[in-house]
Amino acid sequence: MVASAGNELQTNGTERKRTVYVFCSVVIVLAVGLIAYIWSQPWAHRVADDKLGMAAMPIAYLAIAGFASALRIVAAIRTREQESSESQVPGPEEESCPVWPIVLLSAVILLAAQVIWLVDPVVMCALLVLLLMRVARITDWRLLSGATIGTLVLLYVLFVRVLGVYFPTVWLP
Amino acid sequence: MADSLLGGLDLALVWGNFPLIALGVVVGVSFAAIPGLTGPVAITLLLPFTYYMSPVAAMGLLLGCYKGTMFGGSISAITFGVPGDSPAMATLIDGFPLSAKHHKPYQAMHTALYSSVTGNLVADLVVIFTFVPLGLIALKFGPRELFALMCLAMTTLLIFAEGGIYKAVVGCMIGFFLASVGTDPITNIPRLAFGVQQLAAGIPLVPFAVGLFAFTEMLVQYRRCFPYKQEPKQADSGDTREFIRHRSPDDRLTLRQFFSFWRELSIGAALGVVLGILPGPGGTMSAFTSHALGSRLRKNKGKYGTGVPEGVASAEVGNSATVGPTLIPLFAFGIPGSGTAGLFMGALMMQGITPGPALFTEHATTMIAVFIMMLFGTFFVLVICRLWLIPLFARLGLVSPRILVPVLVPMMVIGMYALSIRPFDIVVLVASGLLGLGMRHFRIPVAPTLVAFLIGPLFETHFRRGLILSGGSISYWFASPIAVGLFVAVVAAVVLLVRRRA
Repeated sequence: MVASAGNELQTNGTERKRTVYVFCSVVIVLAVGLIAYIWSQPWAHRVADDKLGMAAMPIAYLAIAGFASALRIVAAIRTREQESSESQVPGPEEESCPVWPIVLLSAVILLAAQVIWLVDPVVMCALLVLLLMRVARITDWRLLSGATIGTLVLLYVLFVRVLGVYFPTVWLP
Repeated sequence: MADSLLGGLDLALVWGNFPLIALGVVVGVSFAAIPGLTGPVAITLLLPFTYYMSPVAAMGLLLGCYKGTMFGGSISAITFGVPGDSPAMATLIDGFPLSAKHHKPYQAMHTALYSSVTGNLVADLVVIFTFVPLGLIALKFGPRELFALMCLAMTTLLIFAEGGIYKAVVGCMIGFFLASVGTDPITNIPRLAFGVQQLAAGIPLVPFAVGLFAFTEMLVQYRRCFPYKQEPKQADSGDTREFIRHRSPDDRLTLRQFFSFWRELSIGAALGVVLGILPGPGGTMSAFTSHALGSRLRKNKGKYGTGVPEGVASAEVGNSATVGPTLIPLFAFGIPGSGTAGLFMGALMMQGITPGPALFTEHATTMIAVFIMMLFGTFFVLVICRLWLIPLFARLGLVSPRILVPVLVPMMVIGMYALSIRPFDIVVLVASGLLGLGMRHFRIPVAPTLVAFLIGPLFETHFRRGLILSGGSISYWFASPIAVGLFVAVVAAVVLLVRRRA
C-alpha cells in the first residue's frame, strides 16, 4: 500500500514536472517567435523622442516572460521537483469531464459572431439558449421553452426597449 | 467644496439610481451564492450595461454588486458547506458547523450579514476620509513618481499572487504585452496589429475583461455539465435546508449578542482596511487572517472551528472591509490593486473618466456622488438581505449549471455586441475566455494579467515620458524624494519576493 502510494506520488510529481516543462517551453517558444515577428516589422526599428524603438517595450515584456520561464525550467531541473512550492499546490485540474463542451461552446459563439449581422441578435441569442440547454441534455420541454421565450423577452425589453440599443438587423418591432 | 458636496448630493439622490443599486446588490448576492460564479464574474457581466448609464448610476450598480458579492459567497458556505467564492472559505469554517451541527443557519447568516455590513461601512468611511488627503498627494506625482508607484503596485501584486511567483510574472507580462497591442503611446503610430484591422485601436477592454473572468468560468461550468461519472451529492445540505424552511425559535441573533463580538469586528475591520489598500492580498487573505487573529483572543481559545458566531463574524468582517480600500489606489493614483478594482477602472474609462489625480480636480462632484452611492450600497445590502432574500438566495445554490450557463452565455454575447455593434468584440470575448482557460489550467493568476493590461499603457507612457524629460540622465529618476522612497520600497519588495521564492 505504501509502495503504491509512493508510486502514485512519484507519478503525480512527474506529471507536474512535465506540466512545468510543457508550460515553460510553450512560453519560451511563443516569446521567441513573437520577438522574431516584431523584429521583422518595419515599425519596430522606428526610434521615438525617448530614444527607444517602438518595439522596445513589447520585446522587453516578452523577454521577461521567456526569461522567467527559462529560470523556472532550470530551477525544476536543479531541485528535481521534490519539495518545490509547485508541489504544495494542487496540479492542473484533472476534472473527470470531456473537452468537447469547451470546443463546442467556443465554436458556437464564434459562429454566432459571424452570422450576427444576418439575423436579429435577440432572436439568435434566444435560439442559442435553446441549443445550449438541449446539448446539456435538458429534455423538459416546459423548461426549454420557458427559458428560450423568457430570454427572448428579457433581452428584447432590456436592450431594445430600455437601453435603446440600435441593432442593424432587427426582426422584432 | 460646499458646491461640490451639494452637486454630489444632487447627482446621487436621483430616484433612478436606487433601483440600480438594489439590482446590483441582488445580482451580486445571487451570483456569489452560486458556487463557481464569483464576484468578478457578476461585475463583468454587468459591465457592458453601464455603458448606457450616467457615471454615478453605473458606479452605483457596480458598487451594489461588489458589496453584494462580499456577503453572497457566505450564503452557500453556511447553507451547503460549499463556499460561493474563495473568501467565503473562511466563513465556512465556523458558519457551516453552526448551521449543520447546531442547526442555527439563520443565526450564522445574520451574523455574516451584520458583520459584512459593518466591514463595508468602516471601509466606506475610510475611503471617503482618505480620498481628499491622498488626492492632494497624488497631485504632486509626475511621470517618475507614477512610474515608481506602478512598479511598486505590480511588485506587491506579484508577492501576494497565488500559484508561484514565476507564473505571476508570466501572467503580468501577458497583460503588459496585450496592452501594447494597438498604437504606440508616444508616437501614436499603429504597432502589433498582426495584420488585423480591428486591432489597430488595441484590444477592447470590456470584451477582454469579460472573457478573462466570466467566459472562462462559463466554459469551465459548461464542461462540468458532462461528467464521465456522477459525483456523490453533498451530505447534510438537505438537513440544513429543512432548518431554513422551518426556523427554530432559538435560531436568531440579537443585537446585544452581535455587539458582544466588538473585539472580533474591530480586529477584522482594521485588518481588512490595511490589506485592502495593498495591491494583492484581497478578501481571501484578509478573511483567513482575521479569522486566525480572532481565534487568538482569550475568550475564543479552542472554540473557533466548532461553529461559533464569533468565527463567522471574524471572517466576514475581514473579507468585507477590503471592498472600499481596494478602490483607494485606483481613485487616488489610477492604479487598480486587484482584478475587481481593474473592472471598476474599466467602467470609469467607459464613461470617459480617467481614474487618478484628475478625479480629485475634474470630477470631484461625481466622486462625492459615488461615495454616497457606496453608503447606499451598504444600506441596500442590509435591507435587501435582512428583510426577505436570505432563504431565496440560499436556494439559488441549487440551480444547475446546465440551466445557468446556456442562459448567461447568450446574454454575455449580446452584451458584447451591443457595446459597439462589432462582431469582433465577440471574437475577443471567446479568445480571451480561451486564454483565461489556458491560464487557469496552468494555474496562472488572472488578476495580475488584467491589472497589467489596464495599467500597461500608462506604465509605458510614464516611463517613456520620464525618459524624454530626463534627456538620458539617470539622476532625473532620483531627484524627487517621493520617487526615491517608492523606488526603495520597490527594491525592498523585490528582495522580499526573491527571499520568498528561496
